[in-house]
Parts: sequence; structure tokens; C-alpha cells
Amino acid sequence: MLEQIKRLVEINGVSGGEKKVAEYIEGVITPLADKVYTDVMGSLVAVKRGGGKRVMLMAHTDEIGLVCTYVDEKGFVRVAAVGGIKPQDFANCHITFENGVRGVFVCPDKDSKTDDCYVDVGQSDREGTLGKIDIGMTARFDADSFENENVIVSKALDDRLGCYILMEVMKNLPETDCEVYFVFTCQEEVGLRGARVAGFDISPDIAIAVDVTAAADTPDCKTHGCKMGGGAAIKVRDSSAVCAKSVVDGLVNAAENAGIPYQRDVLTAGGTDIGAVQTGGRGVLCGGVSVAVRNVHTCAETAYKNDVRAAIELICAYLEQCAE
Amino acid sequence: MTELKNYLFELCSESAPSGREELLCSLERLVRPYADECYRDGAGNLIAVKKCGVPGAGRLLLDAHADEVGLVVTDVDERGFIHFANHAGIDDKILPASTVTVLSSHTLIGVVSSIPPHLDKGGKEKKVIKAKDLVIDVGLDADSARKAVKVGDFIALRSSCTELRNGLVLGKSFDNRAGCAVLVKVLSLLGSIRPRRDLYFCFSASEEFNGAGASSAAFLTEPDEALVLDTTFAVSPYTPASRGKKLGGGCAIGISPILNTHMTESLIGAARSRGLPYQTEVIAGRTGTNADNIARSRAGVPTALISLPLRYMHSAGEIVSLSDLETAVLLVMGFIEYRAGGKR
Repeated sequence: MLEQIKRLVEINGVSGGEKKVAEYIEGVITPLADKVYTDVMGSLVAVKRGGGKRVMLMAHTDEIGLVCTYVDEKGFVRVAAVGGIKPQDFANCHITFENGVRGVFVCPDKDSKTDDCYVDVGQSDREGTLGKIDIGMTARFDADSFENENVIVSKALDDRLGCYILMEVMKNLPETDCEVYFVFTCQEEVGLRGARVAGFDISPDIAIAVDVTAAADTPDCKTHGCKMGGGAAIKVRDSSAVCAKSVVDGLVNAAENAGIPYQRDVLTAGGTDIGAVQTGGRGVLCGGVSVAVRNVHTCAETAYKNDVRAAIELICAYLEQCAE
Repeated sequence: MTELKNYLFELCSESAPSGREELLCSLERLVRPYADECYRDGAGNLIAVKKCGVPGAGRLLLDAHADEVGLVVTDVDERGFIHFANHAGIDDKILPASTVTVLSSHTLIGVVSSIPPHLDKGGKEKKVIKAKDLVIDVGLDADSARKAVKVGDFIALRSSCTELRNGLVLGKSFDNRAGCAVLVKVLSLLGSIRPRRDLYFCFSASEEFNGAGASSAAFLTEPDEALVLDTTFAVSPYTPASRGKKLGGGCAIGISPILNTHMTESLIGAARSRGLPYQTEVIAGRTGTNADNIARSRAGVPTALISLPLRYMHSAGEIVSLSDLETAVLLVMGFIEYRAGGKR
């Protein structure tokens, strides 16, 4: 599992610059789909034809990161956050700009905002830095990935893990008459943008976001929520959307009938692509299948491998059930 | 007025937090006899259509949201207590000692925990207890509670409707069942006028959450014009006259950049020509109602807004005036005649 996920997380794909992620996925999935295309916004869509319900599965290709806004006279790069970043979580992290130039992200103290932070690319003046990078270039955070018998630890599991799950579902697709749209959406972290237009264009009967959710099972955690190792997380609501009762019940039934471990997911802070699909057009029945991840939006996102397997099995079981 | 009060009380006897509007069974029961078509769409809206019979006629959308504020279950602990979070629109400070309805597969009644004054060591400056530090007690032990209540079950505030003096009524979810009751009554009266346009009554979903219902309804029904009914703040001890409307002073006609001037003038004209009391409500930015989303649907929909004054919004003790609801019915009827038809 790690090998395939590693290939996905190693691609630089900060929101707006996720093209290479989509290209990699396209290369893998093209033989598995009836039709593959990239839409105007940059989301990759793979279609499996069928005469039944139109089901849209979404995982986003982009990741959080930084964008260069200014270079000062000493050559330090000033940055803005792309997506939800707490700068302290990335203090002294290595970063790589989209053209491959590397640097260090520095967060001076515990109250620093991203505006107070900078990236050091090892140049002594503005000209030196601007010879290496341009204003407007994005940068991703770098970190090694590893796994043990239980977990995978990596950057950008949000949401390359979802991309991996969709790719695995495509490989293991059960007999179903559903017309399935596998949508690898762009620009989720900056406002669910890719999903909004893709949802409008595809106009599905059912839309399901496949993403990570916050695991609330660590010693510092005071809220109630999903647990790592608790099985596939079936979303009931998050800050962006209330899932349709029929989809929640359908996923729960599919899990129970197939003996797949699951937990019910109420996320009180954070949204997913269905939020945009739900408000973006005709009124779509929405749902979500997530993996509970510890340390979300850090370089050490941690997921339980059996939860990932459960999510893959659950989506396959649901598609099979939808056809009946 | 009795009929309007009955509609309101019946609609408020059920609970339907944002996203679970299908729980409001009474609405469909009230609406269906008067509608040419009645259906629930994919977004959870209940749509009732009154056809004018003219081929290619225009469409007027009349919107009132049917959902209400609520909480959501996040856990059931080893003592059988229910942990919860705000789902839509509920302020932590009204929670302790509130009675609630837990909308599990079998509905349960419960109470939010509170500290007896004898035991509260908080001193004079007692702080608001956050929702995450409160629990709901439904009187069940851990095993039974875990069997009965699931993470993700929704919770509504609970209170019964009561008539106070002077035509005021007290209850929960008047925001916006008051608007729904007005539209039900209008629908029932439509036999007396012959509209030149098809009328789409939308009892919309998720207004208190993300506005998904009205967005979808406006997109799908493609109206030429829309009229939104909702509630607004009435003058009360913490809401001065500069921030609120007079309870019993007639409906508030919204004036805002997002709202269409001609339609707003039609509303004012209808109120004046019929001698109906009305107030104006000037809203500088977003109206905070479905009007914001409907007006921006597709290539734009001219939209107007009527709001009913309401005290203690988003609590189990909301107060509205039945006379304001009555005026609203007459105003909407006048507006329909003005914009969409003549007398039969």
C-alpha cells in the first residue's frame, strides 16, 4: 500500500498546481475507464458507463502549501498560506517550490501568523532569490513517509489517500449498472472549487466525497469524533454539508451486510467537496466515506491501513448495492 | 386567524433540523390538498405547484424555509449520556437545562445537563458552558442509550406552542414555520384569484445550514421572480428599536441591494392599497436569508423579501404575533395579484 501512496504524495500538487498529480493518475486509470477527460478547471474525470443511477465519487488532488508573495532585499521569501495552515505545525519544515527549488520554512514564534513567516532559499539578496523562483510560485512541504504493520505516516494523505482509494475502487469495481464518475477534483483546499463545477457539469444523482476526517483519539484531543482503526468513516455531516439520510443509511447497510467495519462521522470543523456539490446546482443526494487521520494538515498525517481497506471495500459494496 | 394559528402550531409540533426536512410530515399533509403538483426534490425541498393553465406562462417562486436550528450527537458515553455539537444556529448560552428531542430511529426526550446553584462554585462571574462540555440526559443506561442513539442523530429544541395575551404566541421553530404557515394559508386561498403565472411554493431545506435547498430550487424551477418569507428580530429587551422591528406592527419589507427595487415597491404598493400595516427593514449587506442565494441563481432572479418580527430567535421560546402572520397572508395575496394576475 505504501509504495502506491508514496508515488502519489511525492508529486507536488499545491492547490492550483495539481496538474502533475492528475497526469499521474490519468496514466494509471485510463485503461480502467470507458472515458477519461480533464475539465476546464483541471479536475480529472473517469467514467464507467452504465444505464443505472449516476454516482459521482470525488477525491481531491490538491494539497495545502504556500505561495510566494514577495521577496525582500535580503532574499527571504514571504509567503501566503494555500489552504488551512497553522504555521507552527510546519516550523523549520523543508519545502520545495513547483520548479524544484528547495528551502526552509521558518515560523519565528508561537504566535506567528503566516505573514510573519518566511522561506529561506539560501540566497543573500533579492536578485539571487528571484533568479531561482518567481512571485506566485507555489511550494509544498516535504516529509518522508513510512509505514509499520498498522499505520501509514506521510504528508498529503489529505487527500492523496482518497485518490488512492478511488483508483483501487476502479481496479476492483464490482458488477453494477450505475454510471460511475470518478472525479479527481482540483482546488478543494481553497474552497471546493473543482467539485462545484464538476458537480454542476456531471449532475449526478448521488455524490460521495472520499476524503480524510479528523481522528479524535489522541491524548490532547478533547472533542468526540472518529477513531483511527475504527473502520471506514461514514459521514453524517460536516461544516459544509448535511448528508442525505438515504445515502448514510445506504452506506451503513452496505457495511453491515458485507461485514465491513465502519464508524459514523460527525465532523464539527472542516468541509469536503460535497459541500459545493450540494449548493452548486440541482440538489444532489450527498454522502461521504472518509478515513480517520491523526495530525491532519501536518507533515505527519497518520492513517490506519485497515481503515483504508475498509473504505475501498465499502465503496465497492455500496456501488454493488446501488445497482440492486 | 384561528386557522393560521392551527397551521403554525401543527407545523411546530414536529422537529426538522437542517438536512432532515422530511421529518416535517405535517407540511406535506397541509399543502397537498391545495396543490396541482406536490413533490420533494433532491435537495430536500417540498415543492407545491399551482398551475395557471396558460401554456408557456412565467413562474413566481414563493420561498419559506422549513428547516430549524439543531444539534447533532457526537458520542454516547459509558454512563449513557449523549455528547453533542452545534449543528446549525444554536448558541451555547441557551443550552443548560433546555429540554430537547433526540431524533433517533425512535424519538427520545432529554434534557441538557446543568449545575444546581448550590454546587456551582463559579462565583458571580459564571461563564457560559460550552456545548462540548455539556451532555444530554435521556434517562437511559449506557447499553440502552448506545442501542437507541447513534452518532450523527440530530437533536431539536423542545417546547410546545402556547398562546399568550394580545395575539402573541410562544414556541420553538417559529423561525421559519411562521413563514411556512403563511404560505400554506396563501396556497389555500388561491382559489379566489386567477394568477397569470405558475406559482411555485418552495418549503426549502437547509437555510439554517448552507442554503442548499433554496439554491437548488431556484436553479431547477427557473423562476422569473421570487418572494422570500422569513423572520427578523423584533424589538425586545436586548434588541433596541434601531436593530429590531415592532412585534405586531406588520411584516417587514426588506430593502437591500440584493433585493429588486420594483418588486419591493410592489410590496409596499400592495400594503398601502389594502391598508395593511407594514414596516421597512433596511439591510446593508447580506440579508441572511434565502434571498441571497435565489437572487444570484443562474442569470439572476429578481427577488423580494418579507420578514415576520420575532423575539428570542433560535431559542425554544420564540414569540411571534398572529396579527403579523395574518397581515403577511394578505400582503402576499396582494403581491400575487399585483405581479401575477387579477381577481377571478
